[in-house]
Amino acid sequence: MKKLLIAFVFIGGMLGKSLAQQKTTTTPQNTKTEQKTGTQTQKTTKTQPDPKKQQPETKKEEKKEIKKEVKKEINPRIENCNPAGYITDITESLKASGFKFLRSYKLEGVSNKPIQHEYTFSKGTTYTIRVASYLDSRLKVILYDPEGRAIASTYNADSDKFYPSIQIQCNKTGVYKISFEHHFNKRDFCGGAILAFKR
Amino acid sequence: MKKVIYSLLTFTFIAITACDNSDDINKVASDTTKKVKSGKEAIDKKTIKEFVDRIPSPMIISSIIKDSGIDYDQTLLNSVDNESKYVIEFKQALNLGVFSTDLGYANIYEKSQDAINLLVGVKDMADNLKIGQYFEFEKIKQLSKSKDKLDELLQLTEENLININNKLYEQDRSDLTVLIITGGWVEVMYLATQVVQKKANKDLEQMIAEQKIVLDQIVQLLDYYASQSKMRDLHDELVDLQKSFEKIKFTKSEGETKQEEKENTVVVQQGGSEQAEISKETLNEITTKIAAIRNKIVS
Repeated sequence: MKKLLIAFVFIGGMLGKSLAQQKTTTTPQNTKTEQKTGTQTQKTTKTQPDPKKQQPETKKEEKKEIKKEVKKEINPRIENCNPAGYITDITESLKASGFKFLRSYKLEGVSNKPIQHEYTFSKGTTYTIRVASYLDSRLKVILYDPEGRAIASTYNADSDKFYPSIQIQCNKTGVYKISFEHHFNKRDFCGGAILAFKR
Repeated sequence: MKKVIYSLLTFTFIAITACDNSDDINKVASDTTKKVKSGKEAIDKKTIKEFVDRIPSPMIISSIIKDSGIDYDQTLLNSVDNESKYVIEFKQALNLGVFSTDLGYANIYEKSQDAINLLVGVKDMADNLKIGQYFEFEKIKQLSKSKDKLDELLQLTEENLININNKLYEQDRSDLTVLIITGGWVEVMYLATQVVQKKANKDLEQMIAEQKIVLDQIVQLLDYYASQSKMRDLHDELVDLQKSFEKIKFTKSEGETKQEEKENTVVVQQGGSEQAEISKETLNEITTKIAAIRNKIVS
């Protein structure tokens, strides 16, 4: 009887431990994020290397070298990035358009994530979001309504064309999200954007 | 024997579940610890900044007032002569917001002399708060004198205020930013409600009603600083104002949003809308409460 008791306690403990271990190892490996874009749903799966599968030292070094090279490619542009210059250029384009300046957004740095800002739009007011960035950046702006639905994008998938601005006459007062993101796997942001309004 | 086996199985199940939930338990414990903390140390700077960034510029309401064909009313503005009354940071920050809103209002109506006077108020408040060096006083003053540089003037003023807020974050003084925002919002609501009382205007009434969403955000921001007695008092006054806003009825209608491309711009036709119904009684109640809060700020 005593033996049976000990065996059950041991099994219980082991099972619990192994489950807890499984949880800590599987969570970082598969991080899923979902972004609703109107009727479309984009899914991105980020897979991190399994720490159990150790790679040979040479392969690790090779990877490090590649990473260094990528950094070398990105850094000069980022280091010389002047978002204020882009913002000044966009501001010039506002003149004579009747729009009044509200916010400027500096888009700089290296990140896999979009740069996001929120602003409370008022019903009956027309807003414009204008963006400028280095030529090959393929940077797009997505506007989300207060319910979190993507209601506009500066990228047209049919024509594969990027537009420099969005204009919306707001029908619902609420907090809107402005998301600046790369269309492909680029990570370096260098540009500027402006939010302006008119009645 | 059977009983022993059942009880052992139950024990095993509990042991497994307990291990599996350990992360959640830790999370709940850490959340509780976060909530127990109050005051500045518990506030996430990034969260405050995100909140503040959402608050719309008072300039939008000032523009609506002007576009409604309502005349400029200098008597509504705070007098720069009141400056000497603002000796504590709490009052200085609130009135920096008040003077900034008044400056925007005067600028939109192109009242350059008033704008220059108010600019002195803004500069003095900013100096008292030791952030005056981030305000381009001379440049703004010069732009105020030029009739054809209104856009530049509005932009520079707006940018300077954003810059001041950013500096306050860097200095861990975001409570002052919240006060500047609150002062600015109360002042523009004071202007709008006073103007509507003098001359009825449906657009402006709608805009006042829709400020419920902004008021909710400001109350939430002030709530972070409820451990400071003056902030708590202001928070409570705005919570009382919220009760009047609760009486406004909002009707939503759904519709399809479309986008088209016009002259190299993506133009969005937003589907659906939201309509606010505000009774005369509620509007009067809001007007009275706003005036009381505003007069307390400027006195």
